[in-house]
Amino acid sequence: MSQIVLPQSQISYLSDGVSLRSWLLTTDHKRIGILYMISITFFFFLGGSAAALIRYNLILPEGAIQSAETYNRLFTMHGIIMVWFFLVPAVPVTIGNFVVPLMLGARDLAFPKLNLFSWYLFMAGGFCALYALFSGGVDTGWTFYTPLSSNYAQGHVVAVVAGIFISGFSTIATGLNFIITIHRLRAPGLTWYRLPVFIWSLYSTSIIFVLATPVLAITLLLLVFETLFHVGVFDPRLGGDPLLFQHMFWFYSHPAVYIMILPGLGIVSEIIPVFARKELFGYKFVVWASVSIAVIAFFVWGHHMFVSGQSLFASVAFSLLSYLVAVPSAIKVFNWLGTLHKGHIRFDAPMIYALGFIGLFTMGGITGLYLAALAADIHLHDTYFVIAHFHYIMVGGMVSAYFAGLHYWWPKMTGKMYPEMIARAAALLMFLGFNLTFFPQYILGYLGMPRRYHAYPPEFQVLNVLSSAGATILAAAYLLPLFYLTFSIFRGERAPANPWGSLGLEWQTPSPPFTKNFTVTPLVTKGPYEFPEPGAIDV
Amino acid sequence: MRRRHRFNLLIWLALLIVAVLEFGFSFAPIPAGARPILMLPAVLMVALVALGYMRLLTAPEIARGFAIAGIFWLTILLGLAMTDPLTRSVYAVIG
Amino acid sequence: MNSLSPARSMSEEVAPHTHFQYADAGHQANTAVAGMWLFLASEVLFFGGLIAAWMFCRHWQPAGFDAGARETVLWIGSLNLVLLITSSFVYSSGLAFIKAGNAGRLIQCCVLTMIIGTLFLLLKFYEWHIDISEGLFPSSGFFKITGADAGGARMFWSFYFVATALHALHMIVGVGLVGWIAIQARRGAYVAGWFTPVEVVGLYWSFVDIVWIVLYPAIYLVGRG
Repeated sequence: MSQIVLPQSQISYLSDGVSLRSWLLTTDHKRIGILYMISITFFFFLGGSAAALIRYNLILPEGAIQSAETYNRLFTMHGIIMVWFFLVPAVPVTIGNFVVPLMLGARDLAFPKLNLFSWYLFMAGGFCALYALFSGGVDTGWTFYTPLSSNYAQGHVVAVVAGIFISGFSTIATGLNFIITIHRLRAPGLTWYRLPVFIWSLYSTSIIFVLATPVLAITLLLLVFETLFHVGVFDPRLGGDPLLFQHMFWFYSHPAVYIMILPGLGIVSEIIPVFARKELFGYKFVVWASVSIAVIAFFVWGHHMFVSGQSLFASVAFSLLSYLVAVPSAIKVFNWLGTLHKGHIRFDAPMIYALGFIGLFTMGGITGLYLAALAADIHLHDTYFVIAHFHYIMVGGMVSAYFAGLHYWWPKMTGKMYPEMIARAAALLMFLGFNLTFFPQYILGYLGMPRRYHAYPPEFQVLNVLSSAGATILAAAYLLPLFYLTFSIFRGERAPANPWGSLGLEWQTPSPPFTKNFTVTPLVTKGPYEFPEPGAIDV
Repeated sequence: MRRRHRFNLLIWLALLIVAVLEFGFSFAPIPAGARPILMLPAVLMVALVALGYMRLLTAPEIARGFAIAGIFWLTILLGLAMTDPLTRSVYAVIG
Repeated sequence: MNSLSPARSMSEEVAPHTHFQYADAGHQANTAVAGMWLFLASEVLFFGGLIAAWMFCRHWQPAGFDAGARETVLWIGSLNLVLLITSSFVYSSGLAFIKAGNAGRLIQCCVLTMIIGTLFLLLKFYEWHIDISEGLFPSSGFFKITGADAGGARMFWSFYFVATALHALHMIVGVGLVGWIAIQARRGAYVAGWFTPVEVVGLYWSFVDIVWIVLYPAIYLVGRG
């Protein structure tokens, strides 16, 4: 059969070259998004396996895995993989890479080769960290506090840190690419206030990528120097200040948690208007809330250090600022509720995940305020309350949002529809399993069970067993999409260009899009949420 | 073009003068706590390089935004981090 | 929401050097310059973290920190400052020459910049040799300064080696980039109408200069009271 070669603005990006080389040397942002998605999925399930072992250990008060040392390495590995190799990159590099140029009416990102390079950096960092984690790992916790990590840790601190260091450059490159693309490659007529909220969220996320990650880089370098040469920069016996490490570490790591959540907030802001068939309530408030979160994020890091010996004056300042950062997040929640009110709601899978997000994120967010109160934090710091708080936001919130976005844009990315009823069941199962896993942990923390302990007093067993049972359900709920989404690639129904009836630019392209995205640059005349009044047109 | 070259030369001379002054001033009897003011001439030199050689004023507008963002965030890092050591109560070690 | 009317078609022929996602060469040039400034903003935070460490360490160990600083080789540091300032001047002149279309002068300026940069690095390596042979590398073995000031001095010298090594690494990359510019100019890649890489590399080079301008008093002057 003779091949008719079509110009790249008319072939689906998936068919445009089928060799391994065409994938590994691609500069097409869509293919790079798919490459990342494979890597991210792998890390998610690896980090999840560590979590499964943690929950298994905690069904017995004396610890089902007898060695405390092994347990320490497990929770460290879980934290490192989930933070740096899943949550921080997940949405920006998978959905973001795929969808950003499409939403802007552009043909690719500003720097496509840099984009490919950032995937290779991510893989290099990942392999480095994995090698170290599997040759015995590290027992310091993902936070690497000194002098434990520099003087006393058993294991491969330098190798793990090197992996994280390399992957950091990957994220700086992605952030830089997004910021420049959003400034410079918007289609004619696409003014800032016509941009989808997802773009504003990724822009805010990218600000943090570019400005916070370098501080992590220098912190890790100093840690390695200290580990290798024991000079005393972080060692109080030699005149150094262990809090210097904590200040520098949290200067990055607190904004990092906003890196993790902001894209999710953006996804939910995309999905709610579409599935409520109603214009997003308070667009300008929502977008400026995203930017405010990104900026104020940098002012609050000391709330991780209230009991560390930090000055009381600094603690008070950080506590007040932490209350401030909750305000824009709350504004977003109210805006979503305002959008849902009197909307025409459909409960497709993306919407179930998004609605679950609103509830779980709100719970996680409010418990953050308890922790920001100095007096309460004395009691709650380093307990399961903190763990429940951040898992409500990161897992109940962010992972739900990631799955929401994955389902929402799946037809666009693969050209196939996933099986709807199984997807809804998985979403509900996830919501149930998640609450069963993590709600007991709030109670455990309030009752005083410390985190990072492989054994615990027997009176806490019931709650721990409930939590572990929930974890089993959660695991099933996460495995379901792995199977049915993969299945849909081969046997799914063909997807139309716009299965959800959305108004965004990316839905004006076929499913899957052409390599060069748009044959002709679109001209934009309206915002992306201007749905007709409910009841006016039957959709 | 001659104007551009002359301008570059003037910036170079200005930088050298500030450097020499900074060097000379370091020999003045400034108490140890106040010695960091010797970093101020460096700030002036940074401004000369950024405005003179990196031509920040004629760069695209977002470039100026990025430069200001970098300085602003640096101020947050250094300023907010220093509130801790400057206000911490240090208790003597017992025993 | 939007009509796909062909208000501006991007599938027309674009000028050489212009990639397909840009409207024209000017668009791409401004984007490259903006991208470099954003990268430099991230570098400000990178070296900024190091300055934060300097501030903390000097705050907690003022006597020892300055005792360590007094052992630095002032003449090499100062000479390196003058060299780098001059190199920024030379490279900027090269940029001005290519703006007027003079590629030959650009190449000369690039070569001179590379020579100055290499001289800086050689002096730096010589300085490290002096420091190490005097026992100033702060590992747990022999260290020149002992007694109450030893801890603070060790911290100063850790800062010194980390800062100057990172700066030297950036210099090596910079010299390489300037060399690449010279090679491209030799091949006739740059003309009066298009010289974006020259501009972008110039920004990076001047930034490396700025880092030294800030490190110089922190290392050589502040502690010498």
